Amino acid sequence: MVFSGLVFLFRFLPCFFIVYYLTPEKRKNLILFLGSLIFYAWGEPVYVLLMLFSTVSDYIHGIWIERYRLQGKIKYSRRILISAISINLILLITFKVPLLNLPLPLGISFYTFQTMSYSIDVYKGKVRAQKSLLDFGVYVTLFPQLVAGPIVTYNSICGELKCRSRDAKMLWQGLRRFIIGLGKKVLMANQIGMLFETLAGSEQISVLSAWLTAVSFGLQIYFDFSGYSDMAIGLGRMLGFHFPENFRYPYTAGSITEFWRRWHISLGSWFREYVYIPLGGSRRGKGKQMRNILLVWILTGVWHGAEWNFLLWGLWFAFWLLLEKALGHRFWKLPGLIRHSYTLWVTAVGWLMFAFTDWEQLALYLGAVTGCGNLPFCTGQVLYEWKNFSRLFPILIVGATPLPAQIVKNVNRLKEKTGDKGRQIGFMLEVLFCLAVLTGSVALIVDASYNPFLYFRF
Amino acid sequence: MKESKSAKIGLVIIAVWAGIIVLSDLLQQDRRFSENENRLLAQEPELTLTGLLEGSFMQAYEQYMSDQFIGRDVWIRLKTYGEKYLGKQEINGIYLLEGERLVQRMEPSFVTKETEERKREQLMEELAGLKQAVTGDCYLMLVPGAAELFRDALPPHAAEYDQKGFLDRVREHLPKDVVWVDVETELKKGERERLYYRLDHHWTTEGAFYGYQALRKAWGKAPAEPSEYVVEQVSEDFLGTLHSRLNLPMKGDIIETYTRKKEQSHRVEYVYEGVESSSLYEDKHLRTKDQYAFFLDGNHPLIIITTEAQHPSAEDASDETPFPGEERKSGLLVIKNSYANCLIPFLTEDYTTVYVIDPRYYHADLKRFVEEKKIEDCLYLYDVPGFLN
Repeated sequence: MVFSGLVFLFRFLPCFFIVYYLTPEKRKNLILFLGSLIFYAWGEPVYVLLMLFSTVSDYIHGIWIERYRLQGKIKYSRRILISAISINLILLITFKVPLLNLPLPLGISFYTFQTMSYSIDVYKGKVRAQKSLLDFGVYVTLFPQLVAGPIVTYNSICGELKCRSRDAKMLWQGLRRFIIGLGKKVLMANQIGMLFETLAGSEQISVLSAWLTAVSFGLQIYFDFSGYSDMAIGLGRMLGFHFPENFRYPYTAGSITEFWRRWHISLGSWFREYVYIPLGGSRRGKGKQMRNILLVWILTGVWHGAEWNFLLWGLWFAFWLLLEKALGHRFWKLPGLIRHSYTLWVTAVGWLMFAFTDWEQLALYLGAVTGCGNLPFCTGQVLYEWKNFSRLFPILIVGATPLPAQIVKNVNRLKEKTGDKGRQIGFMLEVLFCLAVLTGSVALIVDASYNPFLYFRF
Repeated sequence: MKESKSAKIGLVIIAVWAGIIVLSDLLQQDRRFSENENRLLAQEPELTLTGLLEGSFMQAYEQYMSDQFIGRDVWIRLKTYGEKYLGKQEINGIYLLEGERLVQRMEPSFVTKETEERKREQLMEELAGLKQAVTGDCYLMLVPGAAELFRDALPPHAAEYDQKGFLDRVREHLPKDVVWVDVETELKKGERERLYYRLDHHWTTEGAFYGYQALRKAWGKAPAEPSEYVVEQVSEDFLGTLHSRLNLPMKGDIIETYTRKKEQSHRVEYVYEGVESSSLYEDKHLRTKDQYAFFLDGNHPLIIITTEAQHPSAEDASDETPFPGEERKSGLLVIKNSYANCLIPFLTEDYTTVYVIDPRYYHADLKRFVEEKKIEDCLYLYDVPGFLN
């Protein structure tokens, strides 16, 4: 089921929440688990068994890892850990490497990473093994973040698996966050995505069209993925969970290093915590650090898929990260404008590598954006499409900055000053905004010919 | 305290709005057919184990839910408004031109070179075969769509499929004994605003009249006199297929009929349906959404129209045919899509019998049909977008 579909919004979600809130506290996890299975089985009626297998396997592994660790038999504990990780990696590789041509189970890259973090944390003694199979099942299958993240590590929500506080304020914040995410996805990502599809499918490539392609894809994937994360975080909040933030205005970053602290944060910190730091991070000299960075970004690339273009994409970022490290303070002394432009340029070119799996097409586009493709500067098609989207673009660009959030904050401050009356008006505006976004999104979903989720592919 | 109270109000408002949508959607009756979109809607899928395991049930259910969703037409209208205010020059593949005129977009990628060539070759083969089967001549008439005539009115830099180029290529490859009907030149003599409906993809009866003139030219006959016809308005609220895709509030189109002042009597036989009528027009469709079906009752596999001049008096025998000095030919086969429906009434004046075949629904052997009926001439009539689709 997709969050931006009618079945989810007007069948699953209302039914689920009614049943969930009517159920007594003790049984809530059972409802959550069953609801998540239905949610997943709607899109993956067969692979739901794979996910259940993975759940039971990691549950048993976790218990044994802890048992041996507490008995002081670290060697055995380690072996069980290796077994747990191997099973996850085998699952991941079997389905992600196109050797066997199996269809990719939804969300497998996300839930295997979550359960690996669990096994490792149990091994390190950072968390206790989960004794309840149901609670562990809830963690793995939790429908808000099951299919496209954020990647929630076990230790960040293990407390909330047992007991969650919930009040009207939290519910409202969650609902608001969900609606905003829905709007980002349907009203913004899907719209600009149509521009990307038109341009990428066109035979007339020019310098401008290649740039517009890169920029529109960058905006689409940002609003698509961060919108999904918003919806996940919002739904989590409505259930009483606090998921980590996944995006912090990545396009405002002043360096590639900073970009990766703002883009898909949960994946970045996963690699940081479970690969980069265990390998020594930056503590074992420059040479080792370079190797670690290279390795992490190769893995980040291929995590998205076993295609060469994702590897290239990872290496592209590794190169600029290493360059920034090598330049050190000389880089940071550069004027902000230059650093920001450079960051946007690197990410935009990176998006082309990400978007095109076909080598020839990629080469053509890379030639066009670097100006060495011997292509015309502009075509009529670009001018025509630009006009179609010229009002949407500024909205999206402003939407990708903290400006809207800043305005809301200032209005809130104003509300405090004007007392009750101001607060009421401000709140009504907030509700009206949510109603408008929800209604507009439904209008677009009903007649949608184009409604993909980019991160379902990974 | 205050904050949690307002949070509750917000929750209730959104929940009520969502609840209204869900309940009214659940309680409403399913529709079989969308008048507005002029298509069958998906029905509730049957729940089967294999359907569940393969996921086909879920897909069908999603389609069903979207087709039957409460207030579907209103949602579509809302979406169109949004796109319009975002400055889109084209919505759902339709240009919005001045004077509430909608024109269907035909992108250059609409047909690939290979498809175009394949369709062209098939057409040539078919025409050559028909030419052999008929006793008289074979005519080809491809009508350019509105986008071609409104080219200079389209948004700047809009890339359109070159319909004229296509027509030139067809003409170039035409078998020598097939006659080309140059409808494009004739249409350009008219006022383009009156040739096509504003809100439908078909041409108007006036447009079809220009098409008829082009055909007369190809026959080597003098043009018909407009003054010989009575023009009658039969509807002024026709919201066509292009309108359905946007569903904005707009003033409807006018539908006209052209009738010869000299009265004729017709026998219209819908062969496959086993229905007979004495009129070329079916009024009942003017009360539905698809008013264009007024002409010859919409699309049918095979229609046979027989025409006689009414009360041929003995003393006025020379005036038996509608055009003085012309003889009514015996039979014409029209192979066509819906574009022909409003032109065929003109043809009944020149042929005693008109056989109308829509190959999308007629699957029997054409050649044999022509030979059995000893048909004299043949006319192949499509609009360019329709032909290439």
